Amino acid sequence: MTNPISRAWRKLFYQDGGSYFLLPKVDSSFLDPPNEGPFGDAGPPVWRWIGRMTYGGKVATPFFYTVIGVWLALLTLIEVYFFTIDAFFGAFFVTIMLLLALLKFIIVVAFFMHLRFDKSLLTLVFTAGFLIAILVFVIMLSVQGQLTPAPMVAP
Amino acid sequence: MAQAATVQEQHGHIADTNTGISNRKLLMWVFLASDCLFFGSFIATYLVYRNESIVGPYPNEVLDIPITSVSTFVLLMSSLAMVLALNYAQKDQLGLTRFWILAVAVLGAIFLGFQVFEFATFVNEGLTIRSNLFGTTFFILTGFHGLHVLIGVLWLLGTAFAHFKGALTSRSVEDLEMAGLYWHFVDIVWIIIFTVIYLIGFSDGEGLETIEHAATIIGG
Repeated sequence: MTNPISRAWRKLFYQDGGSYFLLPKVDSSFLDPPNEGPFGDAGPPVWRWIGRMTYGGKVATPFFYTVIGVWLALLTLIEVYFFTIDAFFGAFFVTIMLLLALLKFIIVVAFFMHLRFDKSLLTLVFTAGFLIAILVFVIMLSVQGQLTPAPMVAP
Repeated sequence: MAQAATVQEQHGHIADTNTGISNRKLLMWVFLASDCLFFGSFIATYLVYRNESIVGPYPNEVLDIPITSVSTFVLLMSSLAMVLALNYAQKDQLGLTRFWILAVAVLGAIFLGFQVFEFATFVNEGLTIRSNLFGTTFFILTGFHGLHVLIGVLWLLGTAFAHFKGALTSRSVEDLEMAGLYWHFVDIVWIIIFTVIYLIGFSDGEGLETIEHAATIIGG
């Protein structure tokens, strides 16, 4: 932990380094963290301020969840705004929209469904199902040509 | 270890099982993982048959983004209400718990109202489950999602009724957590549906390749 690069590396990949991301597993046995803002203690000072604001003692405060809810609403607004200027993004429009949806998905699963704070086995179970679903998805799209029926003209 | 033990004493959430997770909760997560496959298949089917309809109405003729954006917002806020209900239940604040459970049920019912309105509008505009491939895949996907929401609303109303009848116990907090997990799952499925079917798929119209193929069949 001597230079900024190694610090950033630890925050990216390790839980014990005040990581940037809250989604990776934590070996915690309690439902809500005792002092866990939306970004923990990582990130710029404003996030630490929010972390202190959402400190609730033994369990997270309603304000903590309200902040998460506001983020979700803002992300939805951004999605709809991007939809109105889709020509601006051109070929990247689909990718950007899918990334925004994935971000909302992760936020709900991690915080509202408490996977971030729960035992990692639950994350493993759900991720396995989700990845198999993605696999089915990819297989179906890859054999799309064979699945598409010959067009029939309505009588 | 000492910290974990202290936390365990404070919260009492550790189940007496091999995994340390209550069997009901683990089962619920396994169910949700399997439900990913259920909806994943429907979404994949929708995309496989995207732009394959040779008769209208097409998505760009019927989809209404402003109304669906509002219903999406309602469902997102119902998820917030759900987590607040569980939060207050864990703190033994019964009055607020009941209030937020009912808020979730009401918001869920409003979302269902939007969906019924949307379906009725589509039918009036000539899009039914039998009209074309878009109608079939759209109504199956969003219809099953709506069914999940309906089950969730009934589940929450039942939970609220049970809470009105008796005191909130540690057992019923877990009941509420199960209902909450199910409700949030319904929400994340809609997050995907809203983006993929509505925002990305809005511009879908007549499938040109399909029309050319059909013209070939008719012509020769």
